[in-house]
Parts: sequence; structure tokens; C-alpha cells
Amino acid sequence: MKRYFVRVLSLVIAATVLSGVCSTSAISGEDLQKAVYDYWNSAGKRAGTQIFELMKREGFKLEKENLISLTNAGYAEIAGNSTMGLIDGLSDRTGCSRGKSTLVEIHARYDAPLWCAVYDKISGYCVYLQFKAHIMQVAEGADAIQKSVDMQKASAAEIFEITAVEKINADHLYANAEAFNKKFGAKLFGGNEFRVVTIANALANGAPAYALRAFEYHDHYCPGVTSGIMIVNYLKSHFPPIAGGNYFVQSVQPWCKEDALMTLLNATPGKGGYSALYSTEADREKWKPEAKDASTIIYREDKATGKWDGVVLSFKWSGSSECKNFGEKSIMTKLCTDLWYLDKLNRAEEFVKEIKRFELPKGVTPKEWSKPGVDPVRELGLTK
Amino acid sequence: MNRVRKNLFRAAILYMVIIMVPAISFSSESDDYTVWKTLGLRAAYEASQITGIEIGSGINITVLTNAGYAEINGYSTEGAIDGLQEFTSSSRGKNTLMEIHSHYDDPLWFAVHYPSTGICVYLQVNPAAVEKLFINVASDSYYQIIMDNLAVEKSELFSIISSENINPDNLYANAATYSAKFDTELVFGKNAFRVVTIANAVAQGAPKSLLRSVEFHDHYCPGVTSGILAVNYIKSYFPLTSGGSYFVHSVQPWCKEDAFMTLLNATPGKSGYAVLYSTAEDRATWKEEAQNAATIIYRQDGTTKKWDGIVISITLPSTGCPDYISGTITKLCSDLWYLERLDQPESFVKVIKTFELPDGVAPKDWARPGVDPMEKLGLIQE
Repeated sequence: MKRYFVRVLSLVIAATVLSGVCSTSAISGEDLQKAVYDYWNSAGKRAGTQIFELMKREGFKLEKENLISLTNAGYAEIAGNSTMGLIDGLSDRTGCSRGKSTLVEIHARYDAPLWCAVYDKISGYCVYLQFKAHIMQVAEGADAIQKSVDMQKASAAEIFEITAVEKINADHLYANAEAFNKKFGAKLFGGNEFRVVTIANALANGAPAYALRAFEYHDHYCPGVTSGIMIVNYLKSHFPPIAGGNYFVQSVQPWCKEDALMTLLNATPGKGGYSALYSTEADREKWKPEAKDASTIIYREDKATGKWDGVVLSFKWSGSSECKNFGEKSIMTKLCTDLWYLDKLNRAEEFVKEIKRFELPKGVTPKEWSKPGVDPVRELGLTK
Repeated sequence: MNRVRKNLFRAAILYMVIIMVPAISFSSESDDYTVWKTLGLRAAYEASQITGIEIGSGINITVLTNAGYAEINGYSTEGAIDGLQEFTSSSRGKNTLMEIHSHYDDPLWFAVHYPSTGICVYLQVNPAAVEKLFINVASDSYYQIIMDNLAVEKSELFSIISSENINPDNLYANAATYSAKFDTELVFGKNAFRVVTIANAVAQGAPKSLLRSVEFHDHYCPGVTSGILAVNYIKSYFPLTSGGSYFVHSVQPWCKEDAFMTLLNATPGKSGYAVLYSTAEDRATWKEEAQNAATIIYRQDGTTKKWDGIVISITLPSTGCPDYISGTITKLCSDLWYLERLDQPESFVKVIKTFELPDGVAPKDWARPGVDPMEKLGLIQE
């Protein structure tokens, strides 16, 4: 028995030690998928090393436990190849992880430039690196790897299109808002300033994991997505699901909240759980006064009876976020508002208002109110 | 398992946890995180015990979980992901650590798949046992958190622990047996379909684009494949010009929607997606050539800001897969058939109509309440 115990421990130690060794294996042309993974894993490590070096030049010694990594790797493609491997390399160097909510995978379209950013919660500094699009060549099979920029030997200038180091903690940004309005306007972070600044600061300020999931899918953190998170928190307390039943979300005034509703309720159109209608001001003028701010209809199913009931909700923005106006389109204005709302995610009742509760007639489902040509607000008797 | 051996196992876990969490005493990680991470380690450990496959054996392992989405007693559960990852060496980058979308009140579950053997171990957490893991969480003692975990018998900690060979050939050959196991005995809880389809897709080398889509869709089915095929078609035949963006408007929604939103980053929260649930009755009014219209894809020219669009249909032909009694197995067969054809979107996607929106008109104008885009496109019978 003792021998068995020693064997288990030996394997554990070996696995731990080897996990570092294996990850640096050479690129193989035999298995393209593995070769692509190895290439981007190496790119992630290179980016991580570069970030530590850049911060060292600024006079900071990074501690892994204080870092937050953000990237669109895995969504962005280069030369038609997945870049997912970058996540492992970056995680390896920074110590960030999914479980700690410090490794953030930001939604992006496949043709978005590949980037990563690392934020240090202690110093407030952030390093942003954007990869050159041509570092991986378009070629058949394993040649694609062989012709690509060597992540170990190439200079930073050969790999990265944008390299930026900035202090982006909220207080620093507020104190230097004018300068940062200009810097961000010049796309200091390649057009990703808003998403990097808002998500990094939200996490540094203790944003909960469920909120992060919504930020990730929405690809940034804004007051709009906050409203979706608060609506979900409201539903949990005041309109919970009926055992085994589903939600159906129907937005009649869509905004950023939609991505939070879909993500947190797992109510997506692909699973028949979501619909959206883009009402205009002209449409809303026809709504009854009590429904003029209606934004979302939440239906819930009672599996036992097959019946649906619902609630029409509005979201009341606070008029007093105590935030200074740093400019109409200033990132700082939205960041300040984001952080103000972040402290109030568990006070959903202050912002979410019920306009109407109702039951659908037996046999009628929310999808029938989502048909072409159907206006659910009219069906609810909420038009003048 | 006799008491001595069990104690040795416990000591091994304890030792492993300690060396795998460097400088835990000095870290800023929360105690809640440590509790959940330890649970993830425990789940992976129990899987290794069931299969007899020890860590460090070099065998590839794929892990699937809804940790991070599922909540238990108000706790978020994402810390378990790190425990699973550290024990199994699965990773996000290798596509072997799958985070499956779920509702917050769904049961928390883990599936550990060993592709080389086909064995998949499924563990579903018993929420009633979770509070026991937090008994001493305020003590700041990492050692105590581990001991509290180990004090809960696995039969209490997990309401379901099962192990099945989910290799496709085994499932096809024993379809009746597995139909009962998946659909009646619920050996994988209510997650058999998602576990079986996604684990096998990963094992077959499914591309990341597919896996991102199925993570968000929460399972892999032929329907979501059709969305991936459509996106692959769009990439080649309807690409963006001068920047710009897409707006997706589905007039016959099915699983494909989640792939569209995920791969094109065209979501309703970013004003890039709308959907109408047409009925068979609605579609009967559509013109002959538009009978199978499924989705309207609009694209905006980054320079001129003008929108043009295509109306597409997506036809899913017979795959030749027999009826395996269980929907899970039949669909798995179809999934794997399509998996080999993701680079042939032209065989499935057809353009019904191309058009330009008038100046000043945006797709959202055709997604207003009471507006039917098929009528706007002149695709309704006179």
C-alpha cells in the first residue's frame, strides 16, 4: 500500500513538473491542428514575456496574483486559423485563469485583429499588444506554420502592430480625462480602449463572475449591459423560473442588456428562447403612458400546466450616478457610470419596474407573439 | 475501498492540492474560490479513480462543465474550472476544457472524457452537500477547506456518478441499451445529449469555430452546424468590404442562430441581430422561390454606409444515419457526418435573393414591431 501511495505522489509531482516542459515542445508539421496550437501557444507566451519586460521598463515588477488578462484569441482568426492556443500561452506566463475570473475571453468577429492586454491591479498599468495580421502566412497544410513569423526569434516590432503601456485605473483616468480623451480617440489600444478599460476596471473592483460572463459575450462593459444584469437579478427574486420551466425573453426596446439576458438566462434564439423587435420613437409614441418605458417582456413557462405567464419590465436609469461628465462620448464617463452601477447590482428593485403582469391564453406561446407582423405590445393591450 | 487505502487517497489529494496551488497562503484568492477549486480537483480525481487512469499517464483528457454559469445556493462556481484543469491538464487553448452555457439554477456538473478509450465519467454535484464544504471557510485555513471536502463522501457530494463508453461506434452498436441509459435512467442527468455530442466533436478534432458555437448553444446538433456552414458561406461569398458590420435577421429560427451570433459577433445587444418566429402558415404565404428562406444577412459597407443583403436557405440533406432509437445517438451520427463537410458550405447554403436597402434605411427598420421583412423584400405571394 505504501508503494502505491508513493507512486501516486510521484505521478503528481511528475505531472506538475512536466506541465511546464511539455508546453514548450517544438512545432510539428505532421499535425496541423497541433502545429497551429503550438504556434499560438508560443505567441501567447511571447506576449506574456513582452508584457513583463515592458512593465519592468516602467519600473514595475509584476506579481501574477495581481494580473488580469484579456484577449479576443479564439474568436479572432489569422490566415483562417484558430488563435485559441494563445490563451494557454498567455495564461502560462501571467498565471491568470478562468476559475479566478482573471482570464477574460472577449467576443469578437473572426476578422477582428488579434490582441491581448494585461492589467496590473496594483499599479493600474495596462499593457496592450496587437498582433500583426501577416505573422501567420496563408498556405496549405503545415507550411502555414513554417512560413510564419518565429515567435521565439522575431523582434517585438516584427510581431506586434501596436504596443502600448498606459495607466488606466479609474482614478488616474478621471484625473487626466482630457489627455485620455485624446489618447483613446487616437485608438491607443487599436480601437479596443473601451472594452479593455471598462472590463479591467470592473474586475479590479470586484465584478462578480456572472457579470463577467455577460461582459465577455457583449465584448465590453457599459451601463447598458448592467441593466440586463440587474433585470436578471430582479427576475431571480421576483419572477423566478417555475420548476423545470423556461424563460422566453422578448425585447421591444433592445439595447446592450440583450446580451446579458441571453447569457445569464441561457435564453437564446437558437434554443427558441429569445426574440427582439426594434421599436422606434414613433412606435413607442403609440404605447400607453404607463408602458412608454417598456423595454422587455419576460415570459416563463409552467411545465406542469403548459401555461405561460409574463411580466413587462422597464429599466429606470438613475439620474444621479455622481459621475462627472468627462465628455459625451468619453470612455471615462461610461467607466464612472459602470463602476457606480457595479456597487448596486444587488439592488435591482431600485431600477427595474414592473409595468404589467399577464398570462398567455392556454395553448398560446411567446413565439406566437414573435411572428412576422405581430406587435406584442399591442397584443398586451398596451397601445393607445 | 478499505479505510487505509481511502486515507492514502485523501493524503494524495491533499498533497497534490498543496503543490498545485503555489503560495496559497499568501495569495489574494478568495476562500470561496478555494472551495470550488478543490471541488473541481475532487471531481477530476474521482474520475481518475473510476477509470483507473492516473495523472501523468499522458492520456489526453477533455473536460466539459457548466461551472461558471451554474450557481449553487447563490455561490458562483467558476473556481471549479481551475481544479479540473490542473488535475487533467485540459486547457482552453487546446479545446479540451469546454465551458458549457447553462441557466444559473441548473445543476452543476462535470464530465471527464478520455477519447482514447471512449470512457466518459459524469459527476453531478449534490447542492445539499455543498454547504458542508463551506463550514470552515471563514477560518482562512486552506488545510481545513480541503479536509472539509474530503470529509464528504463522494456518494453524498455527487448526486450522480456514472461512467460510460461514449465512443460513437460503441453507442451505435448498443443503441437500445444507451437509449435507456441516456433517456430513462438519466446516467448523465439531463446532460447526455450535450456531453455525448460535444465530447465526441472535440475527440474528432472539431474546429474552434464550431466549439465556440456549441459552448454558447450548450449542445452540438445538426441545427447549429447549419449556422456554422452559413457563416463559412458568408466568409467566402458575402464578405465585409471596407470594415462594416453584419446584421442577421432570421425569419425561420432554429439552432443556427447561436452560431450566427457567436461567429459573426452579431448580437441583439450590439444591434446586430433580430428574429421572427414564422409559422408554417406564415411560410405558406411566401413565394415559391422563398419557401425555404431561413435568414436574411445584411452587410454594411464601411465607407458608403449603405446596406445590401442576401436571403439564404440552408438545406440539411439526409446523412444516411439510421434511427438509433435515442435522439442523442442519431443526432451524434449526423453531427459527425456534417463535421467532415464544414468546408463545403456551397452544398448546403443557397442564395434566394440579393438586394440593396434604400438610402437611409437600416435593417433595424425592417425589424420593427409589426413589420414583416419578407413583405418588404417582395417575397410574399400577391
